[in-house]
Amino acid sequence: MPQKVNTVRKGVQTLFLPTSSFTTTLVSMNFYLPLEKETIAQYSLLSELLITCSADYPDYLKLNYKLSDLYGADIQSSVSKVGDLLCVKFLASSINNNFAIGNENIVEQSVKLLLDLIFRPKTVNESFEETDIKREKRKLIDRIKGELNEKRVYANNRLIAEMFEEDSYGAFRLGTVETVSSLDGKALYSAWKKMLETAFVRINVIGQSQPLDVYDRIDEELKAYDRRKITDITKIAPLTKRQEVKRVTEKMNVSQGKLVMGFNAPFGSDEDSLSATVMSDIFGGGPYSRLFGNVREKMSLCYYCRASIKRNKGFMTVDCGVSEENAQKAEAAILEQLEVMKQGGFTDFEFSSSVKSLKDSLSSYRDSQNAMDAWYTLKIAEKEVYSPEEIGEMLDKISREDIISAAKKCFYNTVYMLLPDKENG
Amino acid sequence: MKKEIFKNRFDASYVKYQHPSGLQIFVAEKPDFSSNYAVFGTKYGSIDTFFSKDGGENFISVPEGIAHFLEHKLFESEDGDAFSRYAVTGASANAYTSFDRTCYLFSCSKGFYDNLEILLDFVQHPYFTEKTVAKEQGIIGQEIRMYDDSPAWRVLFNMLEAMYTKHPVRIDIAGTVESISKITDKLLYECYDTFYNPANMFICVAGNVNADEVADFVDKHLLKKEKVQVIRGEHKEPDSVKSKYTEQKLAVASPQFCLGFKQNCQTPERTSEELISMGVTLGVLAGDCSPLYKRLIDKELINDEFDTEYFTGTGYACIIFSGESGEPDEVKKEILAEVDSLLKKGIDNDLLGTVKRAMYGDVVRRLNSCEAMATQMVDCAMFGYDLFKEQEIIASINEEDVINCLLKLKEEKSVLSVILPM
Repeated sequence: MPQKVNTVRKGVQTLFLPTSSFTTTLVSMNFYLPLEKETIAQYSLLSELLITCSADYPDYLKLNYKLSDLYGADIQSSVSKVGDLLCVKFLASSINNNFAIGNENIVEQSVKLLLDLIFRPKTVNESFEETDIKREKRKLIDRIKGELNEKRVYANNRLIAEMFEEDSYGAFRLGTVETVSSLDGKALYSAWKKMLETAFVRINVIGQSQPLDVYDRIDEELKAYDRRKITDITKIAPLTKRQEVKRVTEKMNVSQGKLVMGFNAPFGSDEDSLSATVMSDIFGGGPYSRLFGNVREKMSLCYYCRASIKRNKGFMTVDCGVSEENAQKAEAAILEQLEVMKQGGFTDFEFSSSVKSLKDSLSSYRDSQNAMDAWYTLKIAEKEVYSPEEIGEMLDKISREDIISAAKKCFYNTVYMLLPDKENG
Repeated sequence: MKKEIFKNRFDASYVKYQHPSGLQIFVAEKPDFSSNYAVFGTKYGSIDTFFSKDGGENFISVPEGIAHFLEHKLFESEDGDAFSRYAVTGASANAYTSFDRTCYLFSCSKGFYDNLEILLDFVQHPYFTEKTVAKEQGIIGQEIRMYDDSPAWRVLFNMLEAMYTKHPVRIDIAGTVESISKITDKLLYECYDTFYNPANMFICVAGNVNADEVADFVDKHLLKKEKVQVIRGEHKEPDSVKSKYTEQKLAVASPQFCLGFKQNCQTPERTSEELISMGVTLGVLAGDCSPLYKRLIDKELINDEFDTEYFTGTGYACIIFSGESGEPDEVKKEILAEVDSLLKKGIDNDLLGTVKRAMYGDVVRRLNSCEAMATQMVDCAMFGYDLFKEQEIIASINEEDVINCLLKLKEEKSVLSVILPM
């Protein structure tokens, strides 16, 4: 599939992925800002607020009605960490016009609605309205608190917070209850303006055609703002090394314990560090991996035990659910398997299985609009933007030595254990 | 093989083959896609704990959680497991067990027939021994514990336990640490020989394939087996609920609730018309365009987690409202008050039209994914649905249908399950 990132002007990129496979068109507008502990809550609340009402749709029920009338058009927002950037995403997905009962212009209407929500919010005197803020704050705070509910997610987030205690990357992506609670209409208005003025903007369109000259429209909208200080997307610092492994244990009324381990890992562009992705996959990816085969199947220590790597921040994690009595045994077994990786003790079968599996899943990206959008959302700081298929081809050039060398760059950094609280349980 | 082609007005199509063995094969050709998705499944799930395979002469009772256990074990053979065979091809493989089915699946973009061969082979060749059964008890024990900590899982199962007296939908899919300890290799073979018979099974494929080729390939690789006539034991489930309220404390931030309304099942399965009418009704009653939804949000009784579901399967059906709330009792009161009010005042036709448009959009959207197509075809195989009738049925739903669905929401048939913070 041909794809090319175009720079419309400084700080505004566009990407059009033409495809006739889908019955829908997806447009995402991505605003990249510096990831800062202090501002994360503002953008998290703002992203929710902007998609629930606007100057034209001051009431969220009316907006929901409009979306349903557009055959259930989907408008979503999210905030996520991309290296040292915070990506505030607004996305519209709607059925293509030829599927509408009366061939209405559904795609155009959905994109126009998305633009209105972002650029013409419901504000009074340079402030958002208290009733809207109160409603969205409550829902967002519930979501932040709800992080505790699924213990696997909670344990992973806790590891990240502990491992990056001095770095903004350690902040929870939605903000904290305290920071969200403290926001008011004026602060949110300033954040909104700052986002439009300083964010590095990328617009992705995935569908049959480019609706409504969407790129020109956004460019036109952005001209109204002073965009001289645009976020530097290239400044990223990897996880710093530690002299001694940081150990954190938390007790809670749970039935199953969680063990999450964090490692320093290779960092950088696809050209420089792609072998680390294969290394992490052989180590703890699919059912052919060292962790699945040994820690789960041979030792029966857990139901899941997986490794995942973030090359845009230079770290790898391993997470598994274990009983308390097996936690130490599992930790030792996981470290032993990493050592096997460093010594080149993985088999050719594991290596080739991993490459095949990664290539197969890379080839299937083009069958999902959301997967493609997510792929290119991460490809922001890299000089050369590769498609999933191109990365698939690059995997063939990776050697056993590359894998060993990537494994040798992994260092145990932090471990977080969530264990059952037997005294108070 | 009997072949039937289904088409809709958007040029989408799928083919159904009825194999002489009784196996149903469904294929959707998606030439624009690069990947394929295949499911080999059996109408056998956690609710099948009491059955006969000799036409009803002898019934046997098996431990809870055995269907799920069998799913785990089927991946193993005498010389390795299916995962290592998939590792050679690069496919991504998985399996799941639910209340009424067990499905083995893979997705791949290359070597489709190599992968299909692996799937057909391992599902048709069980290998269970005392030793391998014992090993799995440890792994599944951890899986059960993982679910014990999941409030979303617990709130649903506590509700089902309180709603049903006899029907095995009330038991956890994976069973309990105690029930799975009673599973033996012999029992696994007994269940396998009963339910893993082509007459009780289906294959659904969606992707860049040729339907006739898939059907021929399956035909060549299917083992010949005598047809087994499975009779599932009946559970004389009373109309009433066992208990109207249940609660549990877990390490959660805010209370979770699951409000279910039991529906008496005159027939074992719901028709497409019943499913779609109820879907439209739930949209009109509590969807995000409904006055009730706005009232619940504005009164701070629910948040974005709020959801509705028509939860159905063989011999059970209930209407579910779930979410997070500090006052689940108030949510229940508001829902029942809105049902009363709609029954008295009638249905807002604009809202009904809007809900139907959104559902139509969903139907179009689902054509976008091989996985969604294959999963929907599994429902066709299980219950005899015609996927492409959905649009017609949505268009035909009127106020009277909605009223009839609303009448099923009765307070005396409700169960409120709540998970409270510790």
